[in-house]
Amino acid sequence: MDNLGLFLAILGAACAAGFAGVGSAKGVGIVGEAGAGLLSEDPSMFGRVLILQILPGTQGLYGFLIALMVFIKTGVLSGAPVAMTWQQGIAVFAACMPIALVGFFSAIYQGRVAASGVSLIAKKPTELTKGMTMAALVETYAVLALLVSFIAVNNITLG
Amino acid sequence: MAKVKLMGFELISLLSESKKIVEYLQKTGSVQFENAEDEELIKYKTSGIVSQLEKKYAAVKRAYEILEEKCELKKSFIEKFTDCKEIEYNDYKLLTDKSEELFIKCAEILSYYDEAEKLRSETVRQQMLIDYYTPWVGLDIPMASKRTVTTNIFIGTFKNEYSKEELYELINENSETLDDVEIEIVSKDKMLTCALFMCHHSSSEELDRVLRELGFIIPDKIAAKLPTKAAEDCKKEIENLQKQIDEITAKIKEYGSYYSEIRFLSDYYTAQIDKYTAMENAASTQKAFYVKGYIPATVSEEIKFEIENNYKAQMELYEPDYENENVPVLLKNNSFAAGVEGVTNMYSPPSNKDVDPNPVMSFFYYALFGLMLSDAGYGLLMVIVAIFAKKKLKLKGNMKKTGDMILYCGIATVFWGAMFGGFFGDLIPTVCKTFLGTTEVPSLAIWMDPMTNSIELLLYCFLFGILHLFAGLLIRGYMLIRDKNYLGAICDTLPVMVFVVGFAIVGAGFFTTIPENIKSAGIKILSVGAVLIVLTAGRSSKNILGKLGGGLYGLYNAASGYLGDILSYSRLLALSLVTGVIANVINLLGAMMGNIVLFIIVFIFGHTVNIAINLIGTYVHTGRLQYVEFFSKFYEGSGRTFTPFKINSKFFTIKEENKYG
Repeated sequence: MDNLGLFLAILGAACAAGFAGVGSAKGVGIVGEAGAGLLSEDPSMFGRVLILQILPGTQGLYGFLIALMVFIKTGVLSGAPVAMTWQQGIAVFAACMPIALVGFFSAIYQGRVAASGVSLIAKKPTELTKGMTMAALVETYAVLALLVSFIAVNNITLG
Repeated sequence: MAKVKLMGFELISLLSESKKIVEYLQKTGSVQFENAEDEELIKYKTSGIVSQLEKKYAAVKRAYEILEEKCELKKSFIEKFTDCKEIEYNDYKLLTDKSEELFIKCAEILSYYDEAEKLRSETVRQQMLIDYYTPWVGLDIPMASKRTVTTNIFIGTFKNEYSKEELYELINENSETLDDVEIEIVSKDKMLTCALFMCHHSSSEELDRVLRELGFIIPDKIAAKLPTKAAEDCKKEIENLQKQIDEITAKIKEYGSYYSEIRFLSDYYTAQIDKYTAMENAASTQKAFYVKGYIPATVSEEIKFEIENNYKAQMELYEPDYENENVPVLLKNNSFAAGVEGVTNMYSPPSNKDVDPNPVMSFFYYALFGLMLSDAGYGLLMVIVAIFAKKKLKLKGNMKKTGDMILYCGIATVFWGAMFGGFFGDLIPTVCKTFLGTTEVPSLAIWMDPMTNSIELLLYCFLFGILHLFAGLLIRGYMLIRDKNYLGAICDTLPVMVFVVGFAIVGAGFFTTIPENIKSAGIKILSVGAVLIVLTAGRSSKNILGKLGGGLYGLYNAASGYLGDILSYSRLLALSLVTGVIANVINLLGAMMGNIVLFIIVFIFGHTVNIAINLIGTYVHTGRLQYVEFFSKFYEGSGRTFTPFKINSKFFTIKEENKYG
C-alpha cells in the first residue's frame, strides 16, 4: 500500500475533472437542446444561442484546472510522483471535493437557467445579456468552490 | 454631471407650415416628441402614409439589391461599414426633390427584373421540354402520328425496361389474336422504355386493350414535328430567350449609375417613415398645428429662434416638472465613460432621480475587467482589434461605444497582465526554456505572481471590492446631499463605512498575520461602526423600541450583506487564475513535443478558445459586480432614454447636423 496516498490524490483529481465535466456536459446539453429548437425557427440566432450554451461549460474547465494543479503538485505530470502518506492523499482528495460537487450541480442548474435564457431571447432577442447575467449568478458558487479547492490544493505540503 | 439638461417645449404653428417645421426639426436631430393628447384637438393619423412609404421603401431596397447583383457591386465586410457618404444639407435637399423621378427608375428596374425572371422561367420550361424529347430523338416520324393507310400506330412509354422480345412475349401472353404487331424500341433505360407499336386497323382495338393492361402510357405532350426537330426548336428558343435576358440585363446595368442615388432614396424613405411616425404625436385644429416634447437646454434657445424667425410659429420653452412628468434622460460622456453606457442601459437606463453612474462605473468596470482577464497578450489583441475597428470601420453611435469599451478593457487587461506577468500565459518562459535552452527565466510580474501569492492577491481583491462598494456608497451620499437630506447623507454612509473598515482589518487577520496593535484598533473601529449603525439605522421609527429594533436589524443587514458583497469579489482572483492556468496548460501541451510547428498550431488553436471562453466569462462577471454589488448601493434605474427625432441614414450622413445622435 505504498502508493495509497498518490492513489487518493489522483482519485480526487479524477473526481474534480470528472464530476465537474459531467455536470458541464449535461448543462451545455440542456442549453443545446433548447437552442436547437429556437434555431429551427430562426437560424440567425446561432451566435446568441452559442454564447448562452457555453456558459455552463466553465465548471468543467474549473474541474480540469484543479485536476491539473493536483497533477503538478503530486509530480504526476513530470513523471516523477512525490512520496506521500495516505493522510496527505486524503487531504488532496478532500481539497478536490468542493469543485467536484459544486461544479457538477451548479453546471446543471446553470444549464437550466441558460435554457430559459434561450426562450427569453426567442421572444426578445435584444435581452441576451439579462439571460447571461441570470445564468452567471448560478456560476458564483462554482467560482467560490473553485477558489476553495484552489487554495486548499495550493497550500497542502507534500513530500 | 454627465446628464444633459432637457427643456420641455410646446410648439404651435399654422397647419400649412407644419410639414416644413417637422422637417427642420428632423434635420436638427435634437428634439423628442411626446404624445399631444387633448380632447379639443384632432389627432394626426399617419399610419396610412407610413404603410405606403414602407411599401415604397421595400421596392427601392429591392431595386438597389438587384443593381448590386447585376452590376456586381457586392461589398466586402469592411466596405459594408465604411460605405457611408457625407453630403451637404443642400445636396440632400436637391436629391429629395428628385425622389419621384428616382422612384420611377426603381420601378423600371423592378419591372425589367420581373420580365427577366419570366423569361428565365420560360427557359427552364424549354429545358424541361428538351429533356422530355431526348429519349425520342431516335424516332423518325412525328410523335403525333396515329395511323397510316392500313395501319394504326401507338407511340408511348412503359415505366420499366423492356426489350423488343420481352414485349412480343408479353403481347402474346395477353392476347391470342394479335399476331401482326410491329414493335420498335426507340430508347430504353431502367425507368423508361419508349416504344412504337404498329398493327393493322382491324386489330387496333385489341392492341389498344393489351397495351393498356401492360401499363402503356401515351404521352400528353406530343409534337407534330419530328422529335429531333422539336428538341432543336427548343434549343433555338432557349438561345433566343437568353438573348432577350441579356438585353434586359444590359438595360438594368445602364441604371448602375443611379446606384448611389437609389440607395440614398432608401435612406430618404426611412427618414420619411420616421417623420410621419413622429407626426402621430402631433395634434391639430382646423388651421393650427400643435406638437410638444423635450429638447436639450443647450440648443433650445437657438432652435426656438430659428423656428420663430423662419416660420409662422410660436415655440414655448419650460422647465420640465420632474415630479409629474416622465422626462427622458440624455447622457453626454467622454469616450471613456460612454463606453460602459451600454452596460448600464442593459440593466436599466438612469432615471431623473439617479446620477449618471457611468463616469464612476467606467473606471471600475475597466479595472475589474482587466483584473479578471489579466493577460497582456489577450489585452493587446483586444486593443489591436478595437483600434482597427475604430480606424477602418468608422463606427457610429452604439457601435462606437462598444469599440471604446473594448479598447479600454484591453488597455486595463494589458496593465494587469504586466502586473501579474501574464503574456499568453507563460509564453515567454516556455519558449525560452523549450526552444532557446535558457534554464533560468526571471519572473515577468511587476507586482506579484497570482499562482504563488494567491492568498495575498485574494485579500487585495477584497480591498478592490471594498473600494468599489464605498464608491457606490459615496454616490448615494452625494445623491442625498443633492436632495438636501444632510442627516441621511451621513447616517446612510458613514457608520457602514466605519463598520466595513473595522470588519476588513479583523477579517484580514484570519488570512494573514497582522500586527497586534492594528488588530486591536480594527476591533475598536468595528465596534464603533456597529454602535453607530445601531444608533442610526432605525432613525425613521417613531418610538424608542422601534429605533432599537431598526438599528439591530440594520446591523444584521450590514454584516451579512457586506460580507456577501465583499466575498463576491473573490471571483476576481478565480477568473484571473482560470485565464492564466489554462493559458499555461496550452503552452505546456504545445511545448511537450519540443516541435516548434506543433507548438504554433497548439498555441493558435488553444489560445483562441481560451480568449473566447474567458472574454465571455469576464464580461458576464464584471457586469454582475456592477449590477448586483455596485448598483444596489445607490442606483434605481428604469429611466427613459432621450431618443431624438432625426434622419436615420445607412448610406449617407449630413455634415455637421445630428448633435445628439
